Amino acid sequence: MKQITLKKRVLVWWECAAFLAAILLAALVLLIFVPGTWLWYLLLWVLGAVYVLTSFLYLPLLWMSIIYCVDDTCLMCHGGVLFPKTRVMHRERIAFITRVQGPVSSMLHIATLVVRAAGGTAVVHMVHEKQAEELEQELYGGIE
Amino acid sequence: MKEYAHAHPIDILLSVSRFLGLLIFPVLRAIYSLLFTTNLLIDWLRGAWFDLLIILLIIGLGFIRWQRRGYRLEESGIRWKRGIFFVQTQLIPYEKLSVVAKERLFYLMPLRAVYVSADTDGGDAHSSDFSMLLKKKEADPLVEKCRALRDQPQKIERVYLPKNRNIAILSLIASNSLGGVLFLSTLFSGAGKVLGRNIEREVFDQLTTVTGWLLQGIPPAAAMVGLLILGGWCMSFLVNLIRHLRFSAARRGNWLRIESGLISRRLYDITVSRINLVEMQQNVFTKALGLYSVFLHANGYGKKKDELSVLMPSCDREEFQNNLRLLLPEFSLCRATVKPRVRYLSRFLIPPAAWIGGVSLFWWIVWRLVPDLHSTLLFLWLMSEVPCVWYLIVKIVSFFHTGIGVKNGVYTLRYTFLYRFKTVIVPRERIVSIQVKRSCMQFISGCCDVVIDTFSEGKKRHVIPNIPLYEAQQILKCTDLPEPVLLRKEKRNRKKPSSAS
Repeated sequence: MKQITLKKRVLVWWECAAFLAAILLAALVLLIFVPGTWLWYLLLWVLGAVYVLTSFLYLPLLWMSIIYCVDDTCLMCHGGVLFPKTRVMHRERIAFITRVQGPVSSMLHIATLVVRAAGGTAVVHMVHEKQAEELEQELYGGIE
Repeated sequence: MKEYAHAHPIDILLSVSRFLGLLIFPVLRAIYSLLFTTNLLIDWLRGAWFDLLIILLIIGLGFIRWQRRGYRLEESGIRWKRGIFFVQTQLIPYEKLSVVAKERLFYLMPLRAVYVSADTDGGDAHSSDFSMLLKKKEADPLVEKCRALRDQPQKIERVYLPKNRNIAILSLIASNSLGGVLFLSTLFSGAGKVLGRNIEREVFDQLTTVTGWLLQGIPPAAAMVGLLILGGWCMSFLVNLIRHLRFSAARRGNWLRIESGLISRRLYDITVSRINLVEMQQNVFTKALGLYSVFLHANGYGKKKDELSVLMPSCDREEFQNNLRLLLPEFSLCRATVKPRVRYLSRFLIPPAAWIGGVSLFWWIVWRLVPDLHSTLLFLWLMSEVPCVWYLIVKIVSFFHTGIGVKNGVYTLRYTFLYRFKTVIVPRERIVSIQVKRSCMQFISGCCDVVIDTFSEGKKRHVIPNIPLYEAQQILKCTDLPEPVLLRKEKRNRKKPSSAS
């Protein structure tokens, strides 16, 4: 069974995105609310706490939990922190695969595969371009 | 590596419609000039460069979209690339194609542009997995290649050509507002015949009083509404007729080619092994006349808006069986072996009886509360009972229609959906799941509802109600699917006496 995990650059990208979102929200709070009031403090503290939890706990755990496996019969996607989920898709049911790359993912050389099958869809998020290509080839090889 | 081929250049203009939302900025500028400036025209003209820039941007985005969209034919399938910011690349294998369609719209004919779409069992339920506007000379080889790689073509071709009369019947049945028009016609013009001229006059007087109180000149408006409904129906009928005239279905080897359309021609190549089911539909009238409309369910056929997945527009039973043998011998119709027992008849009659009772109760309460409008209420009560009584008739016929049969691994499911009688022929391999459901009352009477989900991009469900549980269990055993826990219990209970004896 072949296993694919996410590259470290994906975690870095998530962390950057979380940081930017936190900065943006903090700027909005600073602009909209009156400084020094209890609401102003509450919002900033909540925002800070959420950011710390997300950035230092949730995102690393999520990054570690995501694993994709492929064998002769099926494709398995596992991931999730609070509600871990495993999705098994039989290879014989796979109809076609779509590879999606946005501007940032092209820069980081990562791609997302959307595997469409009769009755459902499985998503292989943010794997390395080369791994995505290999996985695509392997899954198409199983199409009869 | 071969380069990607682009869509027909006219696609740039058609793509522009996606970005028309950007016109909001020139509109906002014009509103600003109108409200907040003194010299309207000069101020507006001064900023006209901005409007031109937006228009250029819209055209530019249309061009970029066209430039970034492309396809190429590879050994194993069609490689398709699209997207401006988020680039999507996909390979659709030829052997996974269920339908390849070619659409020649009349307004694109002078430009020699053809819509080509391809669909598999996966993907979105409302759009094609591959769809592009191509030059005719590029579209033909694409369709041919898709077909050639899926099958070894045979010389023998079996063709079905329906008569125009049959297509007209289908258009008549499929036109949406027919029921509504008939109902309204009865409501407004047939009242006199049903209840007498005095009551009719009184109804119209009352209606005129009420509507006159609400709005001035309502009777012409009502006439307008009536005319609109009638016009809508006529339009729907004409569209269906034009869409399906010159219909033909031809079977060659492993695929079925369906062509239709008087002005815009549509051509579908359907892989027979990927056809999910064949469905016959009837209403009470067509059932009484012994007519069927036959539809085909294959992912990608009849997917577009207002498109019907027709196989045979309308035919009688013998014609249907002959044509089905000709076109799709794999789908054989068989008699229902599992049918509802006479003691389950009440289960068919209770829902419509409850509707009749409920509607009567409602109008009786209104009658008591509004004593001045007795004759109007009587008429409205009678009219609202018509669909309920119709439902009762449908359910009585449904009792004789419902059932399941199986022959050579192909199931025939007969059931009613709303006011329509359906007969579905589905091969065992195209069944996704089978559920056996029982309510408390069904538990006592020993019957069950069988819910069958078949292959589909969305959800395709067939509910066969009130059939005997044990017989249903026996027929379901043929599917090789694990039996529900409840059935296993039932089976054990049935086995016990025999083992004891």
